[in-house]
Amino acid sequence: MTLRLDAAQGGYGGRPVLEGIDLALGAGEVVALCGPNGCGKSTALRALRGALPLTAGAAMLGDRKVTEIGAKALAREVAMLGQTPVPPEEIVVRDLVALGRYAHRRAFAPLAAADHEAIDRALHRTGAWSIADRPVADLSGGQLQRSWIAMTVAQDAPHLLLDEPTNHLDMGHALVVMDLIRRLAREDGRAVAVVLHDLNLAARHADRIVLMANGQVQADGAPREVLSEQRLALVYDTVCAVLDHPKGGPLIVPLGSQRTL
Amino acid sequence: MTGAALLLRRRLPSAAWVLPPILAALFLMGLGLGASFLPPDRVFAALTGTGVRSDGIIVWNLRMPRVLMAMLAGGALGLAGFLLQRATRNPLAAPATLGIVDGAALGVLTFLWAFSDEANALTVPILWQPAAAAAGALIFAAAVAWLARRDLGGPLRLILYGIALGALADALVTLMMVAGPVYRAGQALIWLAGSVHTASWFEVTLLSSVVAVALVGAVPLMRPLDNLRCDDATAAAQGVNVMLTRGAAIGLAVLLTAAAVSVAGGIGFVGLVAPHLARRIAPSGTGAQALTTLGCGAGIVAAADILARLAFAPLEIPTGAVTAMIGVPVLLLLLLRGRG
Repeated sequence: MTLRLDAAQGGYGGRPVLEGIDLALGAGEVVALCGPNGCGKSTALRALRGALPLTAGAAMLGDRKVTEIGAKALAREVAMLGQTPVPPEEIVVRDLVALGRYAHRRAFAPLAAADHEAIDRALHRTGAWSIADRPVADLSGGQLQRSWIAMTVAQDAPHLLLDEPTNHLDMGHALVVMDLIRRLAREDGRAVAVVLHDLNLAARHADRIVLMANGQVQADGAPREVLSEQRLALVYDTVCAVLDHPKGGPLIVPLGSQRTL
Repeated sequence: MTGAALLLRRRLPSAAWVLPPILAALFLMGLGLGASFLPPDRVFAALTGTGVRSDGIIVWNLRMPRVLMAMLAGGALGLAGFLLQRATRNPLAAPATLGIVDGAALGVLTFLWAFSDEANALTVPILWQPAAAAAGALIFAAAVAWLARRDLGGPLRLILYGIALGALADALVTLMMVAGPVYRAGQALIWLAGSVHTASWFEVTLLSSVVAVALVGAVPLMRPLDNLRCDDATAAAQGVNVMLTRGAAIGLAVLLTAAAVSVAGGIGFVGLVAPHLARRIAPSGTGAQALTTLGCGAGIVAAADILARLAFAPLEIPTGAVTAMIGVPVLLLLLLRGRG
């Protein structure tokens, strides 16, 4: 089943943010949503999850509107990690990851064997195994982010939506997280959409970049096609040089802003 | 760690196991202590119906409803506080901070004012006073809910609305106390301070039915409330129906509070303290914490009631005052120890 937005329009409190967005996530691919601040990329992610009331268009999972799918059934299909998730106080990583099993658990029963397997798998997968018994409050930024991703992985949903998962991470940890996200798509066949500010991270790790501006999709395609000097100048008001990355793909170097304060 | 080891870890000894014996001891002490002291053997004899008749009357008709009422009211207010704190993710949330207790007080004052005659006697049976308290509590809860109808996603505002309306009710209560005749003020003061010495079996039955209903209603909320320890967006992404969970938890808390204060009066503070105490001694599961909170609340008010009978004997002081006198040091101790 494909998760997609069909001509989606919507926003917050009557202020439109999305002005007719078409967006589809393919299985096994990482799609990066990029664009300047306030362009609607996080809003588009929320719309995909059915967490944004749309004024026109629809978020669809296969042939059903996501808003018509029950909360638990939708959670089994689509997992999402927000930009600034707040963990419970006094919880260890394993218990945080276990919260991701909510939609799979039987009523009035303890965690089943399948739940424990999924939790263990997610911990191993995300490299959080060694910190499984640590209190969340004691973790570093990179460890915490890995724990959150482990929680969404434990949700075992074929669609994964991540809002700036590399925020507040140094470049080393950001690379680790992006590698992990790529493997989640490649090896498990998940469809992953990830909001990213860092165009170079997006260019290196995404199969497809959706470049947004003013609530609309400006370009959608392979990094090399989307990230042209002309388009970046137009979307970011910034003169950029697009060079060749030593390991392949484009490398964006901002040269100067055309914006005035 | 494997699943089995995880189960073991969850079963690590917690301090909560001391609650049942403490509650049993408080129950027996509550039956034995008072204006006329009954030693344990006479309490047991009265309980089994083998003692002297007067002991039976003291135990069954006078003290048992009172002890049960104290435990039920404390448990209900504790559980209400627990549900509110979990639903709003705010450790300050309590029946008192949502304006429900003050609303009930206003209901009682209005009742005493409206149904007293020139001679300061009530024109309707006093039995209606709990109904007036419940009505006041529900009206104020509804008003807070109406104000916060668009703010269920921002539970802090809910608490602020509750504090605001509670202050309003409090001001009106003071006004009516000052402006009203002395008899009504005295009658109102007894209610405001919280008291269980007038407890009847009817009230015990009423309160225990409400607590039973609320407990059944709370069971399916335990798991979503567990996930709601994360922020709203994260819990929703996990598949929790956030608004439904929050609304149901607050509704149950209102029901419990209205029932407890309508029969036991403005017993303060237990709704705030009991959940914090339970958090320290209970295992981490939400259901275990809810049950422990119930026990802590019951124990605090039962202990307060025993102290209220004995501390200034033969004068009895209001249970509510003693509850706060016990509750405040407990809370302060928890806060001070929690810093380490």
